[in-house]
Amino acid sequence: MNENTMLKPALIGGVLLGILSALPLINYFNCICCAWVILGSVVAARLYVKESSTPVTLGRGVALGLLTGLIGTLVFALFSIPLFVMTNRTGIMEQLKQTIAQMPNLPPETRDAVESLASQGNITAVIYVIGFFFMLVVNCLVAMIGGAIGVAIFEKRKSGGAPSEPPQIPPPPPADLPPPLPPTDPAA
Amino acid sequence: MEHPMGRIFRSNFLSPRFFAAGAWGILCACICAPPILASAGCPVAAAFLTCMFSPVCHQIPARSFWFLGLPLAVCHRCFGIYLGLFLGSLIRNPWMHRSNRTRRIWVLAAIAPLAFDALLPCSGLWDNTPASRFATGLLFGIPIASLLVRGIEEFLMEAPWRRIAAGNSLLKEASCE
Repeated sequence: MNENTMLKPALIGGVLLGILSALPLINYFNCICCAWVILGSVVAARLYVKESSTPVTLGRGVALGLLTGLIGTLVFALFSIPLFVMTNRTGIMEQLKQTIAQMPNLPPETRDAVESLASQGNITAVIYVIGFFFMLVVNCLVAMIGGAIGVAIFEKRKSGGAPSEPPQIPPPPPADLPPPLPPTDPAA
Repeated sequence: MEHPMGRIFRSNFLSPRFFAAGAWGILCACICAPPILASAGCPVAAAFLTCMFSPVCHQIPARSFWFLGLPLAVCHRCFGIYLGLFLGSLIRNPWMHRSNRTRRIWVLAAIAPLAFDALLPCSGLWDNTPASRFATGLLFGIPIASLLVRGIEEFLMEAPWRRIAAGNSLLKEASCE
């Protein structure tokens, strides 16, 4: 099994994960235990198990999930940028302000500080970048789980335990060597 | 048959188990941090952490645990899952990995209560409670963490860089001879 065969299922699962997580309204399904992240990596694991001629190990499933999570988060970011521009870069700041507004006993100067912070475009971009890296970590961890679940459910062939090393066959003797001596009789 | 590297990973402090436990532990700490930060006078940091979890949880206050007068960053079920993943990373489950079949049964048994608790309220047959949401999340997280730890161990054992490193050492030995 080589790593090239892993790329195609990871791409399919990652694109599925990224697009479904970025689309408005549909992305709310991620609130159900990261449904799209798990689904994307399980789909990738299913495709990989189907294509593989040898039994797939859990390690391969985890690696596949990691790759799917990375690709999916990148696809999500690519799809989110147009949405980020279209929403006038206020989405996350509005959410931040709403969260702060729900906090009890907050001094008014803190609210003013948040208002002034929200008016700065650069801060919003920085928050988006930090949010992207946070999401990358969470998506990769959850996708690793999805990959392992996918392999555990769909791999029904018996695995040979640990990965086998290539057999160590001694090299053939050179052709110009003399023929081996006949066995000597120890009694003689 | 157990791979000899498996024993090394288990005995090493920086093993996959501790890596997984550390990652999930940090996430659990981030989930519990917003109320503490807010009460300590850092409401912006608290709100920021809460917003970070918004893409992965609905964060409905009525469906979240409250601490120091504020909800945690995720709901009951998600908190149960994250806590289960953290605790499950610390517990060794040798029964799960006896065969592919037992592994599949464990995974399906972990998913089933969570799925029933989440879907049965739609049919009106069952009304879930904070305790049931948290417990089913926890029951899902603990066995799945064992699956993940085992997967990371196997991934590190069969990683391509290990073969490359082994190849280099063999080449060096050959050149010395």
